[in-house]
Amino acid sequence: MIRPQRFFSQISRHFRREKRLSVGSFLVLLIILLLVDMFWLASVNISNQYQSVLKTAKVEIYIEDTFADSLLSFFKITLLQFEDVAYVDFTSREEAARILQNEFGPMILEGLEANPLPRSYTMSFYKSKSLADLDMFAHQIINLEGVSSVDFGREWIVKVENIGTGLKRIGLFVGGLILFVVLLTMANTNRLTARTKLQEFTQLKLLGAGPSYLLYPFLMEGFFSAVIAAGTGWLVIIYLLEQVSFTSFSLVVPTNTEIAIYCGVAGLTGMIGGYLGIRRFLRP
Amino acid sequence: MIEFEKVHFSHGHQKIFSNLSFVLERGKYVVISGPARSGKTTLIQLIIGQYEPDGGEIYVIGEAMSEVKSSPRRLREWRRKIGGVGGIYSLLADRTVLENVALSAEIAGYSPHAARKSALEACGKYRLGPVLSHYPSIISEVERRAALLARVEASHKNFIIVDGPTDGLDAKSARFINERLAALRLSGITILYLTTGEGPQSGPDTYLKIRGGALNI
Repeated sequence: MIRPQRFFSQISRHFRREKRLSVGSFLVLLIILLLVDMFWLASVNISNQYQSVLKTAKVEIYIEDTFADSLLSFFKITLLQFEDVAYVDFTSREEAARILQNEFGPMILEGLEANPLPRSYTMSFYKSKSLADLDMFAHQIINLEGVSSVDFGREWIVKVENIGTGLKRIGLFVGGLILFVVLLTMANTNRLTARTKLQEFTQLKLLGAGPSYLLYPFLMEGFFSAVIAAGTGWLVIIYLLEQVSFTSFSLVVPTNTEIAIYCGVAGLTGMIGGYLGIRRFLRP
Repeated sequence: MIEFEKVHFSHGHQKIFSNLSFVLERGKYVVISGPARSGKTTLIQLIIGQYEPDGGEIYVIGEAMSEVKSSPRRLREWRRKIGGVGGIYSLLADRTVLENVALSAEIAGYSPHAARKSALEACGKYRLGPVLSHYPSIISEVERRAALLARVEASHKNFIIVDGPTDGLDAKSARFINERLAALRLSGITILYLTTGEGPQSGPDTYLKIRGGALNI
């Protein structure tokens, strides 16, 4: 079995002898893994955005004009009895008109004989609710006496959810494809390297070197190239994110553990690629 | 140690060996001489299992080569017992002389420290001290062959195949190589010496000539 010090000397020897091949394959890996990183980042952030939309979801309940004001306090008690309700705020017609005028100017209601805005309740929850939960909740509320309509921005939630699901699917497909490309890149690089080392391989085999002796440096090279490329990819992304400031939302970056696992998976893929590239040269 | 029993071998349509039989006994020093393209290198390749005979059988340490070849592990073990100098055996271009000399011991399972120690001792015997950190491309031909012999000694092989070890060397260098081989023979090592010339004048037990695919005394 080859020792670590021999491995590092072999790697540096190979790098010195095949500079262009080594640098080229490393850059290809880096670019490919950068693509994976960007997809991952986008997917994580869309999913995070979706979760925050669900977490801050508020349900607007509009009351029928004919519903008596005297019943409103009972109605509020009924709403408060629903599960996970954090608060229920009442908005009168006057308050609604004020809010509307504040947003769109005092002229917005000019010319109207009466205030057309309905009374409403705004509800929010302690826990983040899924789309199905919100649908079920809205269905229960709409059946209450005095409710004219219920709105929780369903179309926005659906949009964000669809984008998230789509990105996850694309991410899985592209991720799989890219890992396959990493595999092929490592296999091809190692095959080319092995061809340049054919004479050395023959000599080593004549001396009785086993597959592990021949294979080990290539496996390690595949592993370390992919790990370093994956790590460098993330460093590039993190550096770029630090240069750009997002005012409207904060970008979520995967945790160190997640990045470490990702680098490990990339390394393993590089190692398998290393094996695939070299296996045909292992016959005694 | 090695026995060829009615071995037939051809390269395509060219017949190399026909009914070749000979025995190389343990501890013997045998010289096989023959002109270029007479099959000397092929003989080595058959012994180390690179080629397979078309007919007949080769026995190495009492075991049929066909059996040895059926298991990659056993073939590797057999190759680890052989020290090769010249011909198909050469130094690795991107390793220093010391690394090359230590290589065989390392593959044979010595620890890096033991392989290096053994290599340094062997290099001393072959006066390779000044070129230990040099690469094979910048040392002289005699130093290259000395390094190959040192590699054999560093891993304590008991069977050596030397293919034209003195070809192209001046008389003094050739004498030095032959003296080292004679010294190895005295320590009980089996030597198969292949040459286009006559081979060393003193030391070998048997001289054979390869001609027309057969060996004659």
